[in-house]
Parts: sequence; structure tokens; C-alpha cells
Amino acid sequence: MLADKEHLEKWIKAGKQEKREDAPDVDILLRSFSESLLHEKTLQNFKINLGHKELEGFSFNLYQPWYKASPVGMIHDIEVIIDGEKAPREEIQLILKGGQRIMLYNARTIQDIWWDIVAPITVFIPREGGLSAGDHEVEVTLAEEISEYYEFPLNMLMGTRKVIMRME
Amino acid sequence: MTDKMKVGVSLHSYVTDLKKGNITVDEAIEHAASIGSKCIELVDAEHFLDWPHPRMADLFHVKELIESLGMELVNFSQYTEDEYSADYRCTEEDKVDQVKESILYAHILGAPMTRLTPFVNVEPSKNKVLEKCLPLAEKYNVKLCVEIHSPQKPDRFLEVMRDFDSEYLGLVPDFSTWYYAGGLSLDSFRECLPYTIHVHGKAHEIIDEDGDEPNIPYKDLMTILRDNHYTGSIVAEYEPKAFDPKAGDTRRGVESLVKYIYRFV
Repeated sequence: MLADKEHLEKWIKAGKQEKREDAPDVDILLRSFSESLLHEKTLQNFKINLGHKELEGFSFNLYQPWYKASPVGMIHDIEVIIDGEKAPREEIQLILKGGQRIMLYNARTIQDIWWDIVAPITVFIPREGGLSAGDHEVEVTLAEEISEYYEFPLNMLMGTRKVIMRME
Repeated sequence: MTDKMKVGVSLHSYVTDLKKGNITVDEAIEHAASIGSKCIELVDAEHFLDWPHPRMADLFHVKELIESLGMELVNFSQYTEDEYSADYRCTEEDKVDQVKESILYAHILGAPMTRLTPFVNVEPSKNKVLEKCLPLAEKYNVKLCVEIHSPQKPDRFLEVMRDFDSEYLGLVPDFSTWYYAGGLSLDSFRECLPYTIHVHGKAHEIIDEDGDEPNIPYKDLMTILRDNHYTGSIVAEYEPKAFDPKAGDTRRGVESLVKYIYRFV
């Protein structure tokens, strides 16, 4: 289940109870992680080659909100809403370094491929014929587990962003 | 032997611009050299983009670049991971492996130390990771150092240092530990000195030419270092507060902080 703001509040509160005096406020954290999720303003249509057939769909790039790389397996969940319609979670694919591709629901098992702070993960959503040209509203939410190294763990970070992106 | 401390830059200072694509790791190293940095600290999973499998060619490239600019790599900073995925929590042996790898990377890079991040919640006497890694550290002449960072307090770290009493184990006090707001005494900084082999000079804002860092008693801390003839390294660690547009230009922030630190050396 995707983490929501309430969850994040809970984690941060737990951190504060462990005397994490410098834990910033939830809204600032959320804003900070959210802002860095998307850099580009465009969507892409493309086809994935499955060997026996091609899978049509569209994609966008998602950027690491944390300040260092972490294993792809730390991705707790990703939710995508396109033009108000939620993309089925079990269909979402993630394209990682070197074109390595996994289903979102397998992300939590990936220990050895890391999501660095420069190269994005491409989020691919199958759709026959792709997305129509023009503007689309994209809402993406990411929850990512983190190791906190300074004694009082935050455990999870979350970001959410709703923007208009263009399909050329 | 110089009798002054070595002033440098932690590449972590540029991370917000690195993430935005406003600077590359190479450009950050070149920028640090251009503002008078004598040494560089870099961070494993931040600056080697193929982490956890950095390419040897990249390790050598970074080493050569730093040296060609007349600087030295003073600290290969390491993050000891607790989890490799949501489904896998690291064992003690995994952490030993991580630290051993960092020792070897530091050795390849010619760095005299590697900063580690675990251990603070572990009783020193039960800390098998340090115990198991120290022989390798000694063999490869790479010191292991642990950072004290706000909101941590030095007590436990001092206990670890006294317990092990090893010249291959040292402390990295981060100035954030002595924020005015935290109320820690300057004596607690003095207590760290016998074990201090590297220092993080933290700041969150661009410092005016005749101004002061407002959160940290820089003058006091730097005077203590100087009066005690500290000849180790201190690196500028510029961490702009999120959404402070004035602080967002990390090149300017780092430059102001390096100049500020030099004022006290």
C-alpha cells in the first residue's frame, strides 16, 4: 500500500521522539522531496520489445529525491495518475540502468542495481496506441525507504508532484 | 611538515546542483581547486554514479584529476547501509564486507581515511564491525573514522575511541554538533581533539566577506583547533537549506565558506 502524508508524519514523529531535534517540518520535507522528482516537461510514447511481441505505452523520467544513491529495492511504492486516471500498479514497469527492466511490484527485491542522483528511472505504463499528442496531467507519488545514518532514523521519504507534461 | 591545518572541500557541498545537472563531479573538483582548496572529500554513493560497482577507470580518473590540480583526496566517505532492499536487512557480516570494500577503494584512490556511518547505537564492546575491519585498515594504511553529526553527542564516540585505542580509528567532528541551538559545551569539542583526524566545517548560508556563520561558534571552534596545533584536514561542507533561493548557488556558497575557514587558519 502506498504511503501517504499521514504515514510520513508518523515516521517523522517517531524520529522526533528519539530526540531528533533537527528533524525539519513535514511540509518542508515533502516539498523538498517532491520538487526533485520530475525535471522534464515531456512524455514519450514508445514500444518495449518483449521478444515475441511489442508492448505499446508511454513513459516519463523519475529522479532520485534523496541526496545519495540507494538500491532500487528501497522503492516502497510508486503511484501514477494520468489525466485523473490511476495507472494499474501491476502494469507499471521501471526501466533502470542500461535498459534493465522490471515490474514495479518486483522493485523491492532489487539489491544490486542502484538509483543514483543523476540518472533517472524511466516509468513505463502500457497503453495501446500510447498517449495522444498534447498536454496531459501527470500526478506521481513515490515512497522510498532510506537508511538514516545519523542515529535517529526517518525510515521513509515521500514525494508527490502534479504537473502538466506534453506529449509531442 | 606544515604546522597549519589543511583546508579543503567536501564534494557533498555541491549535491543540490549535481542533482539539477548544474555541475558535474569533475567540474565540482575543478571548482574546489579554483578557490584554494588543498584537499577533497568525496562520498561513495553520491559521486560514483555506478555505485555499488564503480568502474576502475572512474576511480583512477577522479584520483588523477584531483592530483593534477595539486590537491589530495583526504577522505573517501562511506555510508554503511542497513538494508539492501525493502526485503533484505543487512547482517553484521554484510556491514563488515561494506567497510572492507571501502578500505580497498580508499587504498586504490590513495585516500588516508574512510568515513563510516554505522555503529553509534552499538555498545562499543559489542561492535564487531570495527573490530573485524581494523586489521585490514592497518594492513592497507587506511584509517577508519566516524563522524559526529548533530543531533549526536560526542560521549559514545569518545567511549568507542577509548575502548579501541587504535591509531587506525579516529573521529570526524562535524561543526553542526556544536550549533548554538544544541547548547553543547566547547569542552566537549576539546575532548574530541586527541582522536580528531578530519573536520567537517558546516554552513547553511552564503557567508558575507566580513560576516559570520550564524548557527555555529566558528571562531571558538577554529581557535581551539589552532591553539591545539591541529594539523589535520578541515573541509567546507556547504549544505544550503532547502528552498532558500539566496543559498541555492552552491559554487558561491562553497567559495564563501572556504574563504571564511581560511580567515581562522
